[in-house]
Amino acid sequence: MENMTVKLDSFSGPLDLLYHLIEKNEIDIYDIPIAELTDQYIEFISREENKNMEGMSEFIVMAATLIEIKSRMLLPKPQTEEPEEDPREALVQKLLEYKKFKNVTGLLQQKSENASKQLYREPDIIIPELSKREEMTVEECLNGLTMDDLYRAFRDVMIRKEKKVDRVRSGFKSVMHDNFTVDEKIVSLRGILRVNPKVKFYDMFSEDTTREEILVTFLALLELIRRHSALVEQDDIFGEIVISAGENIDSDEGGEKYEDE
Amino acid sequence: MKMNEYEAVIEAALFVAGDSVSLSALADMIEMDKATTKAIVNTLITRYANENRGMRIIEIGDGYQMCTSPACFETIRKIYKGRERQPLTPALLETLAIIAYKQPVTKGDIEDIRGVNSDHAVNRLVEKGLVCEVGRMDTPGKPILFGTTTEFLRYFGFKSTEELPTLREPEMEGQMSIFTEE
Repeated sequence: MENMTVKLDSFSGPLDLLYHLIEKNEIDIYDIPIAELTDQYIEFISREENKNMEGMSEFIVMAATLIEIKSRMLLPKPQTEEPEEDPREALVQKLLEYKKFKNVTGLLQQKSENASKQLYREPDIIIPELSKREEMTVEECLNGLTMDDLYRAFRDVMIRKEKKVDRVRSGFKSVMHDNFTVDEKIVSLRGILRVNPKVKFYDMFSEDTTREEILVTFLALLELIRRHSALVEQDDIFGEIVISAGENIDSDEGGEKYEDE
Repeated sequence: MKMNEYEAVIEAALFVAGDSVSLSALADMIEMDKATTKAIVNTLITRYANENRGMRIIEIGDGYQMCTSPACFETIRKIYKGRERQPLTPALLETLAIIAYKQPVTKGDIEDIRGVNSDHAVNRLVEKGLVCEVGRMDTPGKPILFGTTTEFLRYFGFKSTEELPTLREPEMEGQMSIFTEE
């Protein structure tokens, strides 16, 4: 029972296993008893203990192929004049092609064993050092250089630099971080209105207040008006804006967020 | 420079290279034509062999490399604590054989012949430096074409891929004969 000990692992693939069975049974490859071979093949793979899909799938595909060939050989042949192709033909061709390469591996193995007796050394670290010494000196480098050459070299560099600029991207500006948010301003405006029932808009800012801050405060004010937390009066166009607390000033605590779209 | 001086510099260059040096590089170095350079290297090769020196110069690809004489191997391995070469597994060996004879070849072609997925085998061979990508096939998907490397030649002791043993059709007279060679 020597084949009980043979594991699927020792075959490099289904063709290898099939060939093993053919050799073991001294089968004529040009007239394979397909039923017998299929049985043996299937018996062999079903004995395998380690049935992981990864390793097994290709062996199973071959089993399916064998069964297909077997069934095609059982079918009655149609009555035609043309000679019917042997269903085993394609498989035999594959086996022969595979065996051609399998056969040469023994010899290659032997060649590599012989060749492994020749030892090589690693490249010396000094080699890059040796080639470094051939660097040019400044005098050698500038030898025969004219003013004209310099001008041309400079012009080429400038042209290259010009070409490098990405016209679209170079137009991009950086996005500034918001120093003030409408939400913060809403909170502070409400605070001011609770203490002072009437405030003049411009009184909230000092000399050095930025335009951004004024804008954000104005937006916050508009939001408070929408929520009926503030009221505004303006006597004439461009006149002083007077802000007073609205009816919702107290109920608006921590309310909805201002959605900055 | 006298003839033996040329031999000396070539010898030194091959020693220091630690890799194969192409014939044209050697010719450039001594400022001679290739045919003359080849003759000088061949003189060196013969001299090494005739005097049974511990070193050998071998032809590899389109160049030359210095190595130790196989006759010294058993003795020097006592102090040579190098990595013992792991033999290639049967799967790697058959994949390598297919690549060597069919190159340039795609992974698909290899799998066709082996009847088994060969991703792992090909990757291992690439890692070992025995095969490499040599181009892409001009078909849909542009599959990678694989071929053997100079390391492959060194590994099997071939001067070039032309020295590969001839592939023989398996003998099919009623029963299989076990492969015999040498």
